[in-house]
Amino acid sequence: MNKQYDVIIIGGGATGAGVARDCALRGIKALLIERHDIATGATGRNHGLLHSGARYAVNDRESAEECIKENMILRRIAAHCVEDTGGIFISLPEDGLDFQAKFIESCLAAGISAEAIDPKQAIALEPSVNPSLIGAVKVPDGSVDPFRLTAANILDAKLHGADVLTYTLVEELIIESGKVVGVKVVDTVTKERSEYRASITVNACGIWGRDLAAKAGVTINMLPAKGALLVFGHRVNNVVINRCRKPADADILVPGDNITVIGTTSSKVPFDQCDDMYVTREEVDLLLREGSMLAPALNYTRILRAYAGVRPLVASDDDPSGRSVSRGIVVLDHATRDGVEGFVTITGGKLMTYRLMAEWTVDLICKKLNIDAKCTTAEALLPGSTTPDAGCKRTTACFSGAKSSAFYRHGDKAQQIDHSTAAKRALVCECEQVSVGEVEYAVGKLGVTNLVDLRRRTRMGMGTCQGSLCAARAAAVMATTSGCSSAEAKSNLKSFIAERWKGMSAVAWGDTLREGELLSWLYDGVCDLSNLNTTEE
Amino acid sequence: MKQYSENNFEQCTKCTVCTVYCPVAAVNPLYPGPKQAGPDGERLRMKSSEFYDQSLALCLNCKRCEVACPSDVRIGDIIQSARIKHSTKKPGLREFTLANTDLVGSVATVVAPVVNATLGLKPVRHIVEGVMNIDHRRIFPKYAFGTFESWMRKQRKEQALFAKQVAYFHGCYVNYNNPPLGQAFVKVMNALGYGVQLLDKEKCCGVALISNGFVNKAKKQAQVNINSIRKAAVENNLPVVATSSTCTFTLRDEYHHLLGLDNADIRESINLATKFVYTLLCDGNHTLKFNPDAARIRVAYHSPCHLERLGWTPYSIELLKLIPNVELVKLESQCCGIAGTYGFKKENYATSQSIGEPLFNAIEASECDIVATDCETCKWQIEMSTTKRVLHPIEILAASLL
Amino acid sequence: MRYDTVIVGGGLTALMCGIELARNGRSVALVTTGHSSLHFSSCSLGLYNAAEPLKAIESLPQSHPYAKLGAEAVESYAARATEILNIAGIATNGTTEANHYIVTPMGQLRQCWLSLDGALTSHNGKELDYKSVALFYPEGFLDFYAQFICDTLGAMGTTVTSHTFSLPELVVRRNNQTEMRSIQVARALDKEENLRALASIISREAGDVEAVVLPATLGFDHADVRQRLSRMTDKEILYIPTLLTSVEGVKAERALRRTFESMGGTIFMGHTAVSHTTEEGLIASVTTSKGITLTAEEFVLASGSFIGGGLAADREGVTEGVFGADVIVSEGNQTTRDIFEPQPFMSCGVATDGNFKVLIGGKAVENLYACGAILSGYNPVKEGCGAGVAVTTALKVADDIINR
Repeated sequence: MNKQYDVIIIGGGATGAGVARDCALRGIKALLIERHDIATGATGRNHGLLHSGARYAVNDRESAEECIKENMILRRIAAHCVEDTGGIFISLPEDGLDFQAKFIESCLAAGISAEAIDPKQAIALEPSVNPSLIGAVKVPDGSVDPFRLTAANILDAKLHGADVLTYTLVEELIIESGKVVGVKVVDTVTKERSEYRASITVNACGIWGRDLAAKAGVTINMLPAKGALLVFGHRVNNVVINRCRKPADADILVPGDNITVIGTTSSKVPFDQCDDMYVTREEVDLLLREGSMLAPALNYTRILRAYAGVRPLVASDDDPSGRSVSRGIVVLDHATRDGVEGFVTITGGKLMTYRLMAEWTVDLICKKLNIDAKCTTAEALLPGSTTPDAGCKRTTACFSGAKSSAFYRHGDKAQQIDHSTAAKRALVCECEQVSVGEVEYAVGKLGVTNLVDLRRRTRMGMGTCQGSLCAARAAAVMATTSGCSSAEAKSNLKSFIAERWKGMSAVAWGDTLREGELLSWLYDGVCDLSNLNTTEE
Repeated sequence: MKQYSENNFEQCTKCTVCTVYCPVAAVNPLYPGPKQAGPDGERLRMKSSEFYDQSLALCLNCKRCEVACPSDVRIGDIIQSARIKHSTKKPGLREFTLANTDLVGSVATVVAPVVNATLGLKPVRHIVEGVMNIDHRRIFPKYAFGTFESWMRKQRKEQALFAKQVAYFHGCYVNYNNPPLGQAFVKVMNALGYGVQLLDKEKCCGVALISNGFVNKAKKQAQVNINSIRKAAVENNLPVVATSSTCTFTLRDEYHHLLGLDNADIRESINLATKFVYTLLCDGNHTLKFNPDAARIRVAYHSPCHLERLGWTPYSIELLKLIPNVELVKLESQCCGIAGTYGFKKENYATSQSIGEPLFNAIEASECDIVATDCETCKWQIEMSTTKRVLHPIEILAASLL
Repeated sequence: MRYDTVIVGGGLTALMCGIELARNGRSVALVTTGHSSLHFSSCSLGLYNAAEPLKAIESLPQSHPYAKLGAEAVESYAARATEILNIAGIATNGTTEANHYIVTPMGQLRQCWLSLDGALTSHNGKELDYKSVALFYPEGFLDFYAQFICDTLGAMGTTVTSHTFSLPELVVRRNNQTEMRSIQVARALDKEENLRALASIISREAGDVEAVVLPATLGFDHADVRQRLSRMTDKEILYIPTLLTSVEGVKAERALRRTFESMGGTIFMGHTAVSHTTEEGLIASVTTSKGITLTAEEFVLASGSFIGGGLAADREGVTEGVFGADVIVSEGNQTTRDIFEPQPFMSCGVATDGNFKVLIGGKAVENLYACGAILSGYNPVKEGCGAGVAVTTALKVADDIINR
């Protein structure tokens, strides 16, 4: 069945989801197409830092200003995705205090509150901080959950009439008389092919946008810059810790949910690696070395996993590190740039500015379609953040842990989770407190089709055991809920275990190796998933 | 090597072994179990104390989870520390009475016959339940008429004659309820050529204060004990020996792990009586003369939870095996359910007795004459719940000597 | 404290070795941090994944523990292990001649040498030994995947009907969000009234089937729960293993420990062996984390791999912490990115001579032996030989100590 839309958005990261939502709120009929699940690219592979903008203040005033504005907007519209941890920029003896003065001045100039505090105050504020610091500056950093943020945008887009197709790959752009008029897609699960048409097609594919543009005969010179990060087993710090110096590798430590993330490195990688990123031993060494300068406890904290994302930077010069490239937002109207009508690319930018990127894109779309509608995404609250939190926590009759965790993840939408019976309250994932009810909610309402998707929506399997205890339970509950076949569910389980291990294998020593051995014993040994019987299908 | 730090909970691989051996989870479906209450919960509580669950109060601090854990996670400590840090429940009169064993004991021993008679009366026990929420079925330990300390003061000269000396941490129970155990210890030590002296100042070890929520008071008393033990062990170079396994465990481990006090310099000097005596008997220089006419007795040994956590159960067993008139039965190690003052509380009575039931059955089935154990609260529980009398291994040893 | 032999470890290997020594009159102490990997047991023991396991063993490389034993010794030690399991009251099925198959928690068939008696099995790996079974499992028990099992067994040609059951005690238990665990279900079924209630549900619903199958939660304290349920229902009762915790594995560990202790063995529970002393090239003593020093004539390393704590990996490499034994690691990375591919770390372990005497600094220590998962040169998961290596090497070491 072919369908006609005003706009087709390709790419289900934060930006694509933001564009879809903005379109929907302005009454523009939009279809979002994503080849995997939402938030699988760079969106889901960063710190989850709610930048205050301070990091950019000295070198990139424009980005800094955008950040602080969006920071304040997100705190309001996405309250359940954001945690107001606060942040500090610390100066270590080898950094000196020269940069600090310039830093504070630049922050203030960009509208970012920045208050110098003495080392004692900094230690009181964040006990895990390197005690040899010589100075610190307090800034309004926070943490943001990119999965939740993207899911909330998708949810709102759908509520306002947008359609969303995940696991759908765009094979071809339909080009008629030099104009992009639609897409030919294939469902990656069922292999079914179909066509969708729209007046405008938006390329929001991140680093993969280069390839999509090529399908329209358009060249975008992108620079894939890999950033590797490590996830630690628990919250080491409760306040974001940054290094007060010129931005460098591994100088941000962000607490999020029940973990802490250190990142990131920056290195140029070939395009063919973008689909299968892995973290090298050297990167792990660097992250640990630099990270422990921020918080020495990292030296003896369990590392759960390592992961890497690719920054979708538009190359403006030949800088190999990709770091001095402006993170500025790039909106390309290919009609004016390349003479290809009906095709717009949104790239550059950062997670923090996804909403602004969407606003600019949809402004352009409105202009091109002669629609007179104002952007409201800076004011309209996202689903999950529409009611004050107090009432929600009391609605579910669970142990405090699961109740609070569900609220933490879904905001006021947690009320929709059925916790009315013992069966629904039972925990599938014990580390991250994900109940049967929450799994069912995610499958039913949040477009979850496999265990990896489920993990993104609920944190199932993201805790200490990385799924060794909960993965099989989740697979069974999902199979019952979604009605998929056992063979499918088991192969899904196998993929999930494989995916967990990929992130663990780069840091497989100490307790992480022990966990890996348990994982292997249980799923390769006891369950024998290596030898899945395919005849069942 | 492993780094021991506050991150100890991260050694947990989520293998669920601890959940098998938690005596509370086995009988009380309200308790979230050691895995969830301990390492799982700790991770969440680091985010916010709103993740603290009041049901952690159901943990009886037996530490069997820690003994069971293949990853050396201090699960019990994590749970108890969380209670200390996050619990908003204020202890009441009952907790005060149960926790302040030496204050209550020093009053009770003066008027012991009256107290014993009164607490033995059914109507009184019902009043105690009504006022204090202490279960009326619970039988209180009897108080002695006159304390062990006052007895010891009379022995001072005689004990000073021995060239070798030990300092004895007798604990509240020996002092107020069971001076004969202390006297048995003195007899055994004297027979081995050691004189026994008291510490300069001994306070209750504080185990009951900690579990009833009086942490500040526990710290104060602990500091007094640490100072006294330091004087005996470091200045006077004396071994410090206790008969109670729980006191020993508290002095050695809980002071540091739960109260955050520094006892590193004295920890190794604090010994348990059975271990101390057995070690002396094995060194080739010490022997004991046993009474050849002593009646043969069948003894069933019950290993208390905190002795299991100390890891010293084999010493008590080996010591009992050395006594010629003892025929030893080792009971499978399991919690008796009392856990100090836990089982006294009305709301815990049923849990406490269900936990102990398999042990009580095993004791009756063992056809023993006497049960032996190193812990006084296990003794109360077993004597209340079975037909058997319970003695400390040191008492059995003392009785078998010439 | 002094013993004839001190064994570092407390799992299948350590207990098998300890029982064999104790029943030959030696005083033995086990030193173990906590409970063992039997808690994750698949309810089966694997000898080697091959059509003819003993034949396949003959062509293994010299570094493999089985190659050091030789196929003949493997066969005889395997027989003796079966006998010791029997003495401990652990009934098993299977032979060394040919593998049979156990039904996994996913409902698949997995090769094994011995399966615990009562486990649902297949003799040929293609179909079940039963044409019709009724599956009963407790409502709300998340560690049993009934749908997977029904579908998978169905595809093998067995008719499966699926039934949930509930008991008042389990209804209360379920209100606990995490503690509706296999072990607690098993404890509930220890009780006569619960078992009777289950029996009447089974009698009412099972219909005319060849066997009734439950998750492996048939009693914890009582060994005869399965037989009693069978008598009450007049049906053959079988079980399928669950994931964590494996109740049958826990029961097996408990039975082996009781047997060991009843033969005079001592278990230092909650003790981690941390250091050792030597005298004239021999190990003289081991000291534990609880400050106890144990002296002995011989010492046995049966402390398992990484999960068991026998080996430790840090950023730099793999070490054995108690004796500083030589460790064999494979070249290059210790992990591969695909977990279902062989993981090099699985084959890590201490270096031993042909008689499993541990090498330290390239030299075999005459009174220090290693057996079980701490050995190098094999991949227990991929070769399906974890339990087989454990018990055969444990008995070989015990034999050598007895004959020393």
